[in-house]
Amino acid sequence: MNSLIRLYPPEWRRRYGSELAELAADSPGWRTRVDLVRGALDAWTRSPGGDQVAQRLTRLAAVLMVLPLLFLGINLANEVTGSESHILDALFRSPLGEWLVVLSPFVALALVLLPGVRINFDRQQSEPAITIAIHLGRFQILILAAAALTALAFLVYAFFENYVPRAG
Amino acid sequence: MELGRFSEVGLLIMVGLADGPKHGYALMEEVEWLRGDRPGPGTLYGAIARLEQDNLIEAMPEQDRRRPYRLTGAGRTALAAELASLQRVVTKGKARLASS
Repeated sequence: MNSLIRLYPPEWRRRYGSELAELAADSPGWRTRVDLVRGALDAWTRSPGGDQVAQRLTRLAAVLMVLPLLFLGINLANEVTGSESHILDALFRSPLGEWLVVLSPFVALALVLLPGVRINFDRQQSEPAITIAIHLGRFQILILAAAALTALAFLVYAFFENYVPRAG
Repeated sequence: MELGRFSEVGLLIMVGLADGPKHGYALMEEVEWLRGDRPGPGTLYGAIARLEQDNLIEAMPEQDRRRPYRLTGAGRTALAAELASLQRVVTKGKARLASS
């Protein structure tokens, strides 16, 4: 059971860990194990510490969005002005760089949304099986919109141009 | 009182604390008595953490390596409001059943 209690955020563990361990030891079994894992998920996403994790993930998503936005911006500018800029050519000559740009918006979307995913295991409640509840500050809205629009742009491009990033 | 999936257990914990402070094990027994089955320790402490975070309950100094919890003033007010709301549902429900 102690290994499952280690899944909880450190701050939460310091506060409730010993009491939780005592109760968990009293009722060993797979139900308790599942309950502890669910509790750990809740603790990470709902506690003040969980909010910090969500904020860190949003900041990471923002960093990930730099390259794809730069890529889209340069291409859009090239289309509008009719000129050709080759600033990012070196990056896109490598398959790794190409994959990085294409996948980043999808990863960024997941990073912003995942901390807010709630799975309703309790069939007695009439809530939907899965809901997403994220704190939408201006920064989150900005990153979410940028990631969603960029991902959509890549999907539309891939669909109409039969584009697949190089395998290597 | 918005406690998500901890709403039911949260309410029962507050009912358990209405007559005085209790520690985790006693609260688990209270919840078990009130709803007929024992909540998992993760669910119980998830609810305790949320109630404490919302300032509805508070921890007291440790006694015999166990920390009792008690209702705050805000918790007492919230519990009274929640029970009054449930009472209206019970009264209405019983009246409708009797008249049908």
